Amino acid sequence: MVAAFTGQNPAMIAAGVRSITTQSVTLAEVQRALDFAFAHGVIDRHYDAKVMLAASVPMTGPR
Amino acid sequence: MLARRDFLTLGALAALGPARAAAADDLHTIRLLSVPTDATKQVLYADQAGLFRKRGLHADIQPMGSGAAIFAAMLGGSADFGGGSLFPVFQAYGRGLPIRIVAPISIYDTNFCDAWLLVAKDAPIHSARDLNGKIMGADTAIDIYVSSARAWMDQRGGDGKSLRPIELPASGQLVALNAGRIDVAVLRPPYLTVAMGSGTVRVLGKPLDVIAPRFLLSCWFATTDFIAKNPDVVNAFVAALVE
Repeated sequence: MVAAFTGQNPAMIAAGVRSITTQSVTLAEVQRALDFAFAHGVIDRHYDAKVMLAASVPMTGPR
Repeated sequence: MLARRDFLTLGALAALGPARAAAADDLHTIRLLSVPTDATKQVLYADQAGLFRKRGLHADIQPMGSGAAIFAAMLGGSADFGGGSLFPVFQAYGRGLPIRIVAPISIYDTNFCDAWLLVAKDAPIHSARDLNGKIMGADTAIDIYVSSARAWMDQRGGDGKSLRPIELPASGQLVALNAGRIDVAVLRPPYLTVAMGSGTVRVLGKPLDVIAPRFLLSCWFATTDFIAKNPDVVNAFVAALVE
């Protein structure tokens, strides 16, 4: 599936490093990335990560 | 910046939209755009396992080269959901674009690192300081890999600001590295796997560790208008992904 979608060799992909997909996320896992983005000038204002999360996002822990 | 192939995809989406919807018969077609990485296995699996169909959805999944192209398509009404790296989503939200995260895709975990800072095997680059002034290939000039590589250099005695990013799709970064057109890149699966299998590259470090040992790396997003008008579709889409 991934090989066809990305145009890479199926055998190579199957034998190599794979991404870690997840079914849910904690607020901290989003906020850490946002804090770094602000601290390093990727975004020009800091905000609370939860304002970006739609109600559909499966959360582990408090929203 | 939109790549030529993304313009072509956007044109095709615009031209075929109504026909694609009609082709799905009783199913509701959702139009998905994603940067083609290994993490797309999540949605590709859901599609092939019939998890969308089970919920009355037909998923039309198209690859796009960048988050910018995906945002353009979504805001233009040519796509319903976009999938890609978190930083472009932060930037788009910060610019006032009406988008929200609807589901997670992948996480970074230092114990299962899948984003390595790579240089050519024979390059005279062995430390953060050696990267000063060097050219880095990246999807965009301010993506998460450029930012984290700069911070990684700063933490180890280098000068992160001196790193010079040039925009290259992930699929072309290994070729550019081997040809000496770039000095360094952060590759992820499946391109990381291809690079490691080539025997032509060497690992310099784990730049994403400067952010945190574990954090959300990529996500699905949609416009606030689409979410408000299609709550059942959004919930069905997310339910299929997490089943």
